[in-house]
Amino acid sequence: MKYLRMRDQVENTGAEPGSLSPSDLFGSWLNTNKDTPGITRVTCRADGNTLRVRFEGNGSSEPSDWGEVTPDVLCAANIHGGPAMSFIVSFDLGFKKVRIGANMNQGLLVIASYHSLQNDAAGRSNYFAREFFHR
Amino acid sequence: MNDTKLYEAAGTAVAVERMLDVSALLGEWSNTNDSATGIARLLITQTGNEIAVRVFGAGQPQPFDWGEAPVELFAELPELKQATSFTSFYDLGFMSVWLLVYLNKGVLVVISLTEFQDGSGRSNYWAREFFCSREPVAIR
Repeated sequence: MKYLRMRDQVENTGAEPGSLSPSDLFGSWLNTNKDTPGITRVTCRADGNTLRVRFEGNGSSEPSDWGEVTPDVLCAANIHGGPAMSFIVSFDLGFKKVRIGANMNQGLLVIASYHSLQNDAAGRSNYFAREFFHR
Repeated sequence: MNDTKLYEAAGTAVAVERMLDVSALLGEWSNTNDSATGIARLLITQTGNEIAVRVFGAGQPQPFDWGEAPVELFAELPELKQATSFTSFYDLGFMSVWLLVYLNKGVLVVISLTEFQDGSGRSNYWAREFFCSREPVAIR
């Protein structure tokens, strides 16, 4: 079994593929900062066996509804699988593209968002934000 | 480096490339955990306008060299020109890895999301590791 980090070795090579359950992520997550200029709410729900994620902004600097997408990658806490605790999603909002890494940490959903502005005439920089959400 | 290149598109000046100052990110970064079994160190380099990351996975007797991958740079705010975070993606054949990286109080925080594509049964997984610069720190 190939690996490029020691922790990716698996002693039991006959192991069943690790199951990955997204149910711990389900629900409506609200920004802990009610005055955020960024993302206000994240909603995670099941569509069959697929996780669907909706992002909403405050309607001024961010669109009020970014739409609902399926994560590009859904991750457990280790190579043995189990509850999903992290995902990556991507949004194309026209004037910018946003790639988001989300992870659960002690009951909070931590959102790291990377904003790529598309031909921004004002010359603004691409930017990064990190925000915290509770149920 | 603050190099905004402008060119004319249909009579309108449009900023098409906004280079950020990457000085805070460049150099070699070592895992703060000497016994780390994930990423041992990172090298962030600039060649002309190209910024790349080179990951070394923890291994014995030598670390695993993943090679270089391009990065996309980000500032802390739209009006700032100092790069303090980046994303990068490795397609290594049997696995792919997203790196989401940001500076926090001088520590480089590296979040990796790994997806295995080799049918080995290993689950996708998330990890967060912390790195300190190996550049000498100026004492004032």
